[in-house]
Amino acid sequence: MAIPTPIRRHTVFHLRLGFVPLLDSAPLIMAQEMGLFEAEGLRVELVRESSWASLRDKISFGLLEGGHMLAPMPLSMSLATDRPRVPVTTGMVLSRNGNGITLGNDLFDRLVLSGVDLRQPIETARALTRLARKRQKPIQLASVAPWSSHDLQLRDWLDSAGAVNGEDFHIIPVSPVQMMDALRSGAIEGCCVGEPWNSVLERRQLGHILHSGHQIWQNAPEKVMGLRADWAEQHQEMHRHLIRALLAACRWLDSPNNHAMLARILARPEYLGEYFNRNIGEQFPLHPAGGNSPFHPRLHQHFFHNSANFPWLSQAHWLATRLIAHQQQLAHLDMPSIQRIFRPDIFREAAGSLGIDAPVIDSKTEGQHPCAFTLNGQFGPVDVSSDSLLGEQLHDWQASPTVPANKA
Amino acid sequence: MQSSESLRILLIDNNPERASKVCAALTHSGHEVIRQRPDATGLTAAVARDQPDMVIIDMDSPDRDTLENMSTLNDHAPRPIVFSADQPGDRATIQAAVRAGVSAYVVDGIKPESVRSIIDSAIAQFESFQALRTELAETRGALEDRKYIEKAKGLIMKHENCDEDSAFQMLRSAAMDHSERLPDMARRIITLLEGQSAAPAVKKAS
Repeated sequence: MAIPTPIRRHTVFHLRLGFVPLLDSAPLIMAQEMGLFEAEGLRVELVRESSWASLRDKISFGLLEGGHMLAPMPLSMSLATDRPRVPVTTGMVLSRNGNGITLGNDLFDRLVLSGVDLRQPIETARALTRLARKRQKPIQLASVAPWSSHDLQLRDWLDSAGAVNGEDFHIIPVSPVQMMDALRSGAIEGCCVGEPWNSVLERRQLGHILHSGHQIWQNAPEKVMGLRADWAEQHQEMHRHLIRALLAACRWLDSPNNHAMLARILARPEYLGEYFNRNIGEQFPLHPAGGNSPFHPRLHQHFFHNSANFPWLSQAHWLATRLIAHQQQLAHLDMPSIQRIFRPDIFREAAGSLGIDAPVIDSKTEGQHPCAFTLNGQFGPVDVSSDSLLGEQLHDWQASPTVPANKA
Repeated sequence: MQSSESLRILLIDNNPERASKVCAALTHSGHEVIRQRPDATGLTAAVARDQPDMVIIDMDSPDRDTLENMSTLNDHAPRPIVFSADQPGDRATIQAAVRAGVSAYVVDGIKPESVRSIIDSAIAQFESFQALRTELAETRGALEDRKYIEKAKGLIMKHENCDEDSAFQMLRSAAMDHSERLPDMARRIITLLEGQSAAPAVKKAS
């Protein structure tokens, strides 16, 4: 038997990364499919996980080095007070936006009949609260995990109308693959979920997308590349190579010319296809815009442009305040502990080696920019996307450098 | 071996054959096992109705995300076993469970040794099914793809008289330029370069 020749002269690094089969796992899948990992000297094994809990446990117990994570996950894993902590590092945001708040037909129809302006999230939240109080039954909603941006966006949206958790609404976590059954059986009346599930619900005529997550937090980080901190510490060079490979994939993903090919690849059984065939007996939904794109035109999902991949410390701080505001257990939180988890410094170095520019500052006042704007980068001016927050909130992390920890 | 207390266990596993084996092993140890074929939202109701001391669930079940949250909703709900992994001994048990694809949720106040013996017998049953899973994970397609890539690289090296690194870079940029998967581009290059070579490759009987 011939001994296989190594791919490259330097050592090939083996790395096991988990992903949950969602549209925004595309950066990992495409980096694998286009040989981008390999070009950086990484041999990556992608492992598909059915639930966020499973991905978290496998990373915690060393069966995976890291994976595609919900943006709040590195914070909740590193700073938990109700379970053993697993320090996680992220040096890169993988995607922004892509969540939808979808209501089942009944609830949506009642909202329409109330005459409210469906484009105004605060107005719709008020109308739903009135509805709940009138019928004396909480609105039953689902998110995908208690420590997900979906959950926090739902709660921020309902909070904006003064809705009371447990009285005006209930939120339970339901895995995306089961959202359809839950809505069909009447167990929930609406949900906040990532793509392609909103599109599936719409196409199956089980519900209507009422809002995009983008209307609650504009261009918020949705998924990040999370790694066990001990691995990242021991393999700093490899971490940079990993970011380089994923950045190349993200840049490719933002080009509409590539979306038809992306759809073909995601539809393969080992990625999202089997899930769709097994659970709903069909291919995942495509939108006619841009020639069969898997991206829903309303959800503004993107992967690269306007510094999408930059892991802002101020956004990490914002996410931490939301977790605490909505009763997730986090340890005492200050900027130094966040700086160990979110690593703009690592990103800047990895991106710079590819000639991709990044802002020179690590934090900004969140919510201050209703339009895309320009900042100083390492090489010249860089574009940064808008960051409005629902109800024109501003989040100045310096004004609250220490988040009061909640009572464990 | 009889364990120190008899517990009520809710077992959720989409693999009926495996579930039967786990069920038999636990019943044999004197526990009461309730089997459930889960659906999207029946789980919360089942836990509320049956009040199990412990839930054993296939790690790949999407129901886990729902179970995760129950402990935050009420104090009597089973908590994820990974939360109590403070002791090194427990860590080893849990690591073995994660490896075997078993996840467990336990209500407070159950003796650690009972929990460990139940998890150990679930692990044993799950492990006998592991071989099958590993086989499925390494899809034939991935191996085929690798073969094409290696072969195309070899041909490019010969054709362009370059080293392996440059050959791989050429293959990759060709794939990117044509918006093609790497193995698909590799196949095209093989067809192209083999067509040009003086000694055509031996046709495989298919």
